[in-house]
Amino acid sequence: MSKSVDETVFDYFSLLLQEPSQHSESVADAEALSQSAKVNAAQAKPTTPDKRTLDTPRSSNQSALVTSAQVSITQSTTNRDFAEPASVVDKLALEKLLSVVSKPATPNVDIKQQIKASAERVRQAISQTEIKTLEKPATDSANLQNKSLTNKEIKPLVDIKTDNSELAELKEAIIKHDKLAEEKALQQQAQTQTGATPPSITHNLQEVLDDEFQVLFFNVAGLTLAVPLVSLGGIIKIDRINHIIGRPSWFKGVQTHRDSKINVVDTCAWVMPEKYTPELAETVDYQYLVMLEDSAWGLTCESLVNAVKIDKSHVNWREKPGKRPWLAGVVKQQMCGILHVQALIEMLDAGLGCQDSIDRG
Amino acid sequence: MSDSRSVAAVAAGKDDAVLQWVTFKLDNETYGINVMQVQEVLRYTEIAPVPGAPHYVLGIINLRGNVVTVIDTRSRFGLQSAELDDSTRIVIIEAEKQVIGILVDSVAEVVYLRRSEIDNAPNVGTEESAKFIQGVSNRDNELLILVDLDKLLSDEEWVELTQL
Repeated sequence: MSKSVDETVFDYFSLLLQEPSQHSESVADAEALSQSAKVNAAQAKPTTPDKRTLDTPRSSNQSALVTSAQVSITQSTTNRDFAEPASVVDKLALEKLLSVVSKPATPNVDIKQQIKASAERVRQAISQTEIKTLEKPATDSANLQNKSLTNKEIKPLVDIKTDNSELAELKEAIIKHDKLAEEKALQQQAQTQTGATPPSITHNLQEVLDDEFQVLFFNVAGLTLAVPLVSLGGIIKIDRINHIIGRPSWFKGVQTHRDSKINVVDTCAWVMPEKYTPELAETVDYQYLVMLEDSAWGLTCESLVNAVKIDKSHVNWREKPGKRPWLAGVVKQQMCGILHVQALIEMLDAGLGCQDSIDRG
Repeated sequence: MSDSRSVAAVAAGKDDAVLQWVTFKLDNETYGINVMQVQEVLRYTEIAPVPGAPHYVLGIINLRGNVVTVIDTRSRFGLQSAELDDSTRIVIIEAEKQVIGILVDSVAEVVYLRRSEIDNAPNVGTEESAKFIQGVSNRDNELLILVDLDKLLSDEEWVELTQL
């Protein structure tokens, strides 16, 4: 009951191997006996004149012999159930015999499983690449070519055959396909990462703004400036500004706000340093900080004018960043400069003043 | 798992050491210097000027028989000079293996700061004085400016002080 599968298989095959030999031996014995009986009968025939009297012992003798032969056959057939194969059959020979049947069985299963697994992987890879391709509407010819190649190579996977050579080919094709799919996925990933890089200082503000957009106008020493609301990080009332030594004159200091520190820019000193005399500085009364996007920089301003919606066409956009990349253009109606906040942040981060040139290399 | 966490916590704890800073006032701003570099705090005493000394040197004082050079901190920080008053102090410090005195408006207190509480100062300065700001810290909604005393003077200036 507790026999292992292998042992049971061995027993079964040993029985199969044992049966014909015993059977043939018994049959041979029976044949020999019947032959000898025939010879005996032939020899007895001339010596016995009475056919009847002679027939009876012959037949009885023959039937006895046949019966004995039949018994031996029956015994041999009945003994088949109780045979002990392990003692009779050579295990090595049996293993050799079974190897033809049993050996390919295991790899067949493995290969099938491998193929199924690989096919699943390929299908997943293809579905992923297809999704990615769908996400990116602009498909180039190389991608299409690759996709057709993918389809071609997937075809054999549908008709899985157990033939070893075919399986090997299939396996090779699947491995090749896996590699292709992985390479493609890597390429697409690399492309996505490249696309995620932040815009450069020369990135045109017009591209990120809608046709109609809102701007906030604010005043600094009689000068009105506009900042697009999309670039506005917030407005904070000026509190105590801590002066930090060794900083440029336009750097007013640091103001603490909640748990953050705001780098305060003296807007007038930064925008028009040539006009910012000590006398003018005395008259300027800064009230608010106009925060630039999510940076730590805040522009000082005396008053906030209003926030209005303007059309792109209402702005005289600067075609080239030039010497003042922080200035995106001029709002025609209000006749005031509109800030390119991203460029301004980059300049401030670099410690550059309004007239300092930017290295775009 | 828990071992690696505890190791990380210990490492983080080591990195986030608590430092003590002596704070002083100068032109309404609060500055901090490492308490380990402070030897003592003196009330203002008469400072003897030294002919031919650099502009940032106020003069020398006699501290229990030792001659100590006193630096004009306002001048060094690019601030306007101010009148001396009752709260004016001379802080005796040790930096670059030299003992010197720095004149300050007043000495406030000793504060404890974790290393993680110290932020970098805005990196926009190009002047010499920008170098000795070690960092800034927001404490009770007040900004504390931390000074690196070793960088208060340049190498040449430290040498120059020894030759006074």
